[in-house]
Amino acid sequence: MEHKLEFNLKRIGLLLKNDLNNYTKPLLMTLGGAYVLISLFALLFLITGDEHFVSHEFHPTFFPFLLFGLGLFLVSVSFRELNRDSDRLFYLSLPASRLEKHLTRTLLTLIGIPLLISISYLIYAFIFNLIVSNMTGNESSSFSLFNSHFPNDPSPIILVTIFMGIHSIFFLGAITFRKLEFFKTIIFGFGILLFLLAIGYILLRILIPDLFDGMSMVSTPPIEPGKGFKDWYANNAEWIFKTLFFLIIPITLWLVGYFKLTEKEV
Amino acid sequence: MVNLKKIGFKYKKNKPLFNNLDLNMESGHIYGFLGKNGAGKTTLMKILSGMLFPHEGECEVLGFTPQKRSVEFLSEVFFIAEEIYSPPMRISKYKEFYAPFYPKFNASQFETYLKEFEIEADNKLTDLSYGQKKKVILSFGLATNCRLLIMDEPTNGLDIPSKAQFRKILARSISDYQTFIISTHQVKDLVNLIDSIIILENSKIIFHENTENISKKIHFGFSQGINEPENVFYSERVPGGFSFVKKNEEETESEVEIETLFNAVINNKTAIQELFKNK
Repeated sequence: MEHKLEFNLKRIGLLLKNDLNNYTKPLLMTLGGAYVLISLFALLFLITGDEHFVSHEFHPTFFPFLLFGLGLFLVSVSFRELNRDSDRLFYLSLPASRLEKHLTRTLLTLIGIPLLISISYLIYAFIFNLIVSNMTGNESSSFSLFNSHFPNDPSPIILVTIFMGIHSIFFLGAITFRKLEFFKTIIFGFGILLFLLAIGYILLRILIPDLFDGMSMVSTPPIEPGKGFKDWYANNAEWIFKTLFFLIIPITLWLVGYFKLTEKEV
Repeated sequence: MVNLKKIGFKYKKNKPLFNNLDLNMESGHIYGFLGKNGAGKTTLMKILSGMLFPHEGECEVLGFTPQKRSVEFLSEVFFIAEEIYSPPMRISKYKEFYAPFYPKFNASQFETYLKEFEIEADNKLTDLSYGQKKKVILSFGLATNCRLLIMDEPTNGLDIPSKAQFRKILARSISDYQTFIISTHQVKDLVNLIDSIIILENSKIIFHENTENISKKIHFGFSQGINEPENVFYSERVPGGFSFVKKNEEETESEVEIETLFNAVINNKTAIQELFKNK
């Protein structure tokens, strides 16, 4: 079947307006619920006397939790109307092209969700730190999107970039699965990852037999990779992995998602 | 307007629902799709609207291939499903959000229909009863002025006055460039409304005629007494006698009784098909 690409900015605007109207309230309520939950955790830590964790390790723990836990969950339910026949019929018969519908949800989940979580967390962390400082008398570590809390940790903005790399997997899961999209995506994702790792390992073993020589899997952590692996990774693999993770896989999965959406029936 | 040639369709793992199905429909008519449960009425309507894809054959609706779901096609087709989508918003907001997708949407028409159905535009869709929601979606669908309006069991959930109102509104809304397709089990709701009847049985179209032709060829009558009338296609006991369907030999046109006709076609298919073969 031929697919004509139809694209109209006005219709994208209408779809965005429509989605924002339908989903802002449930989204804010879910986000609010998540902040209440992590605040209860903070309170629990304060009651048990772990003030150091609350003052210094809370944000580096809970921002990734929110971003990857809640954020990816929200991505995986972004095509919820495809799960019910009446909603699916309405959505698929709405006069906008499949490209426009797919692009709208991509924009909302790829940019909207991390933006909403980052901004809301900045506000939350500011209020949180004020309250904790007043309660404990200790100065809490401030939360910044661009600085990491610990020397070897990635900064929140790097985490957001990683979120964008993983996004396409959960976005495809949202289109593909009808129920329990989030959990099914994780299970299938891990399954595929393990399969690819096994294939990659076998291929590397065949192509570069001494690649893993000297690599110790039983040494005390951190695991010390073999020199062969380190050299190979530094010279060849890093840019391959980055290109794969941030470019090839997202674009491929995005295209697969687009064609899956075009094939959806009621 | 609608041109289906040798359409084949089956649901996954099931035996084929349609095989070599042909159908032609013209604009300016209100078609009634009648059939028992599972006859394929809803499936056929979904194929026409591009919501299901036929596995073989040619499907052309309004000059488009429905399964491509082009924007131009979608903006000319409105499907009112039996189970309706009702987002948590006020009716006025619903209009504000979805009307811009339909270039021929007429806001004052929408308001008039709502008024006739006695629905306030301030109401939230999720607060309305099933019947009221249906009235809102019917009003919206009619106000889109789409060339093809498909309604699956539109009168389900409507109270008696609303059914009459529905027939009245529909009958006066249709223009020459439009086609309405209505599928229903409650055939009495379509009296004086549809002008073409399509009966499906076991995934096949076994009857497709306009009401004018039907009343010319078939006589719908009533005989008093306890004796079943003879030489009829079909008869059924009703209070005080029998209602029957027979060949119109006197050439006096009688009012088409859709339910009796449906039963006659289902029970005496070959004889009725034979009658209409001789045009």
